[in-house]
Amino acid sequence: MKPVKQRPGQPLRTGTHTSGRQLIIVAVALVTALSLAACGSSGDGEAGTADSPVTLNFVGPEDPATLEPVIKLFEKENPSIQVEYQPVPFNDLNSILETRLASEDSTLDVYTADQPRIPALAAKGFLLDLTEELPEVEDKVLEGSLDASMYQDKLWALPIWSSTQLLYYNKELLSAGKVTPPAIAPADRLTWEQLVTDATAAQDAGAQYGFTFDQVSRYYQLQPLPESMGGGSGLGGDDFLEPDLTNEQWVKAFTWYGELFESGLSPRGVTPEQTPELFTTGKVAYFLGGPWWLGEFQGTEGLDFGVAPHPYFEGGTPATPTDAWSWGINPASEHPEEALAFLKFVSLSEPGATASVESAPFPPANVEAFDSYLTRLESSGEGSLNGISDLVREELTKAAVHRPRSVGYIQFETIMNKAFEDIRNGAEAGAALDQASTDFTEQASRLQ
Amino acid sequence: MAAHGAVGALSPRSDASLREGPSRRLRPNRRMQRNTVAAVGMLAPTMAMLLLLRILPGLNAVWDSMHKSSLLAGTTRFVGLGNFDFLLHSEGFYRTLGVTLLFALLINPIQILLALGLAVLLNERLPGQGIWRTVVFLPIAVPAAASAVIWGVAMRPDGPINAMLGFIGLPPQPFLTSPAQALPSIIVVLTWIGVGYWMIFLIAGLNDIPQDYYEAARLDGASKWQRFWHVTLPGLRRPLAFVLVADTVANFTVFAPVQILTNGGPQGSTNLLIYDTFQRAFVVGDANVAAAEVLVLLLVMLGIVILQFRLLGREG
Repeated sequence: MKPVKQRPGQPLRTGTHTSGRQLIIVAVALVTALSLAACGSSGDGEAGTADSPVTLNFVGPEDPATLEPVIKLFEKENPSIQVEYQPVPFNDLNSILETRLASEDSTLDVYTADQPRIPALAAKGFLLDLTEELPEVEDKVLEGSLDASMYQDKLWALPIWSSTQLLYYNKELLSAGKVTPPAIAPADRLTWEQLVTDATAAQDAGAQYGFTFDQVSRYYQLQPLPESMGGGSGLGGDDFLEPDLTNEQWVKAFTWYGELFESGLSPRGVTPEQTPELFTTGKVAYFLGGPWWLGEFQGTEGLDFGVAPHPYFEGGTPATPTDAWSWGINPASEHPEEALAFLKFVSLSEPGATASVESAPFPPANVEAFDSYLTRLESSGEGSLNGISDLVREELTKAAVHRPRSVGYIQFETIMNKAFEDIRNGAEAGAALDQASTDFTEQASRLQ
Repeated sequence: MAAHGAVGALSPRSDASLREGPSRRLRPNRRMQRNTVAAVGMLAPTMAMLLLLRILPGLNAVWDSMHKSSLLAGTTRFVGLGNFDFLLHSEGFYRTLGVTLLFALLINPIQILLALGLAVLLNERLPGQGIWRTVVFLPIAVPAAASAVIWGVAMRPDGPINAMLGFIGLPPQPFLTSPAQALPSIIVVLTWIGVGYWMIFLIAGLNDIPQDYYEAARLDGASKWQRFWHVTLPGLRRPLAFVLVADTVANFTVFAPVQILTNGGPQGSTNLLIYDTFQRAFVVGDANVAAAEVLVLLLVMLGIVILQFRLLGREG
């Protein structure tokens, strides 16, 4: 279709007698109306009532079903406050939060903060200072979780959950490979060397893969490898802004990591979202993942599995991942008091903390709820998980290694996750870690 | 001569307006004023949007690129071209720039040649022509993220493509997990998505070429290839120029497939400038260097697009 040409000097065909001035007035009125509408919907910060409750907007990576019990219980006890949970994909959480917090988006009230990221979030002014609540918080949450929510002696978020990792194994696949299942007692912890031998036997007997990490190529999951050898967290210096990635233990640990994939014992090209399925479908003999998978694994028909402690390197010390989510308040929130009431309910009250782990068995950071959580965990296996409460307690209190508390943690984690993925895909460990060291030094200079 | 002619051309109109008197002279002025106001009124929303969504963010990027925020000191200060200097001394930035230019150099000719070939083929009177066109166009109707997820599963080391290769006796390929194959794999995915879209513009262009030209060429004894070279290609210059420029810009801003399939890896082999900018701005939160990087990307894009226009113009 050819465009209709406008001849020079020919009057414009408007179709109506609306003058230009009227058009401008209509346009201005529309823009004004839209602006007013936007202002009206942003809320006025007033306290809510049962008839007209305040709505808290809460962003996190969890499945809504996980948080439904605790939100329902909180709303029941606080009828003047409603919580609107907005789930976002785990991989997009940080970029979404960064965008909304940097633009001082007042429609975001509460959000989940990965504990090692708290120093950077606090330094950027993205968290409300909750230090006044410290006396009330101190005795009610696990010490490690509280420490992980502090930065420069101030409290920036309330700890909700803690975390650890368990070695799950498929009994049938081990039996086919004539492998004795590992014991659940921490004293009988497998070495990584033994695990590789046993996983290879299971693979030779028919398992598609011998072993997989749950959060493959993520620093959270892999930090314990060099830590177990005494290689440290990878960051040093006063503010943890100096990379220490190329020491002997780090190179050795990640050369071992690369060989897992080079040999085909662990799969390449499978994302952390896809690894649990390998275990539920009986394709992998050993799976190293969090206790939050227990429910799904127990509900999988035909899956006969057991749990054991996180392995360590022979001659080294046990080291397991830890830290999890704290929940913080956006300083731009128009409802900080209601947001704090919600956080205190989930973090400091036993009923709230217990409800927060009702649908997914995360270890709660609340001391009282943690004890009852361990009891429930033990009984959930109907005898098959005897000893799991001692195991989880031991891992969290004796073997857990915290991630470095640094304002450069976000940069560090981003660089490390890429380096681990490169090693997984065949890059030489020493070269990849050297590159990561250079990249982090460059990024850290931007923080000054 | 020209100046004299121009004065001569104006003089009759001047005489006429003098004869018409003041009342007849005002009427066109008032109409023109009214038209101007109407034009401004109708343009205002678009201009306001352009200002708000394009020009102000652009100026904001320039402002950001000349400042530096320190997380440790909690200050923001003017650094002039300091962020550009940081990029120019960054080994990682050169790797990213190199990957982006290699990507552009490969994907644009591949997509345009394929789109042109398909357009010419599917413009012929073939049985089921409409169905073929729909099949080629269909991938663009699928969201890029969904396509990327599907291709991601297909190209997994234990995925269906390797199963098919095994079936015909070929060894499995690493595709997205290999630094040598990841970029070509992304190009395959993007070409599968985009080629049908660009083909449609070229089919429209082919239909605008008068059939008389082909008749005349045929009467002159021109072969099929000669008709393509001397009739089709010159006739397609305008749609080809559009496709070339739009495709180049689109490929410089490819994001979702990279994020979903490779996250810029392995070993930075698919870390395109726009993805790197996103990482700096929204993952590590360094908005200042990200702004500088996006301005560099803009300059690279502008340079290439101007070059493309020049080359096409010269041929014309």
